[in-house]
Amino acid sequence: MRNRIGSLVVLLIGAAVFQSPAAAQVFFPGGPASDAQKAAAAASQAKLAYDPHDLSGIWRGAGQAVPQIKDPRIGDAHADPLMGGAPPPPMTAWGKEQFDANKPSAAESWQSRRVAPALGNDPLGNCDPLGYPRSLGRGPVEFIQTPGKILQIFNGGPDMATREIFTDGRKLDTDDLDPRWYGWALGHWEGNSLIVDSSGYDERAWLGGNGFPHSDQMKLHEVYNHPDAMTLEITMTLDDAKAYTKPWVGNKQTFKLVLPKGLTVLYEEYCVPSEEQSFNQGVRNPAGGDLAHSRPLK
Amino acid sequence: MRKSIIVLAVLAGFLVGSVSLFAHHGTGTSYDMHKVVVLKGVVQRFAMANPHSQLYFDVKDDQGNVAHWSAEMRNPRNLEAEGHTRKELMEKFAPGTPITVTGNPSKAGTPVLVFGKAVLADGWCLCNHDGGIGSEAPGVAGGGVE
Repeated sequence: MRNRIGSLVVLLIGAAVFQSPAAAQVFFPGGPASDAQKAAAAASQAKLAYDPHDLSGIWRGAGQAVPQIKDPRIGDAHADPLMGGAPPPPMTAWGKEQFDANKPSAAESWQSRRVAPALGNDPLGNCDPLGYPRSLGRGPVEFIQTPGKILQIFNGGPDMATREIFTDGRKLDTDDLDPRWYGWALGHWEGNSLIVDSSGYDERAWLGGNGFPHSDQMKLHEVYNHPDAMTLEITMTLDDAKAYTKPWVGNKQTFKLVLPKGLTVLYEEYCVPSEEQSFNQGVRNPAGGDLAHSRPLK
Repeated sequence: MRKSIIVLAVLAGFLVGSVSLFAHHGTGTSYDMHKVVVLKGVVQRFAMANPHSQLYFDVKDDQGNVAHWSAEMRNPRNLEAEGHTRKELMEKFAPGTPITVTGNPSKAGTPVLVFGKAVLADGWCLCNHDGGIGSEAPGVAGGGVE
């Protein structure tokens, strides 16, 4: 039991390190860690079970810096956290049409594109599923491994969703399958890397908060590496010839372990449509001047 | 002991989920983060819900006209991460409670603000940005300024 608590302390330290200073204030009930607690944490870190082929646990993006580079082609545009900050390739005519039709409000959207939430059409505003890979960047994600399937449970947003990665060797022809918000994914191990190829995505989802589109032709190639007990790395390449003129090669995204297998607790983080509608009528729409869809103000 | 582990794990869950969730709806786009209003009114309803919690309160002017205000607050996960419980806040913001609310009003001129702080008659305060990223006093710009 002591070991479990010690491991948890280590993980809380890790979580605090990778969070904002404000979030770190809730670390260690009763005050800052004592020297003895720090020593116990350091000693127990070495005892964390580590298997490069076991990704189980709750992970969170390590908040790696994304360069806010001005793109001279677009003006105020900057690299998006999406795809690890890698700049997007040129869009096709279809892709540009979708991009222009998407009206984002999220903080990560470009200033020139951002509109008041009441006037935007981010799927988030109606509790539509965020889809993959957008969910990956919006909070913690738990990996659960079974003999034939890995489940990713996304736990931020607000949204709570599950993605299946089949690892039982099956073959899928996604041309014959209906697209899904979280696609159809097949995984296999090559050495210590988990290779995940997926397709069959519902094109109503945005890739991220800036409104980059994808089509139902999108294929994702992901490489997962687990180089040590506390670290998960994901590198993703997006190939969608209907939306982009060439593949979008992402940068490596680093995630840190927050809670290990056996100690995970998820926050119930549903986007509830009735609550969303109430918020929209009570706050979002009147704040944006959309009085036709607001509660009575007087 | 098992209960302690769960409590710690839940704390960790709050911690890992508490970053940047509030900023995802473009606060500075809807609200004037440089303009501050301080309003005395009466609570109508508090909703601790996604995507953002909401405080509804009525404000009466000198002529007796009533405006129905609402405040955009942090979501439940963030409020709990700041140490507040649903039970506590539902009691503090019970309908009929006199209240003074400070925040940044909507750019549209409608009776909506992004929450900065709320003070009750007995001095209890939801402040220090526990409840929202808006201004807590005149002359102070709220978070999310663009």
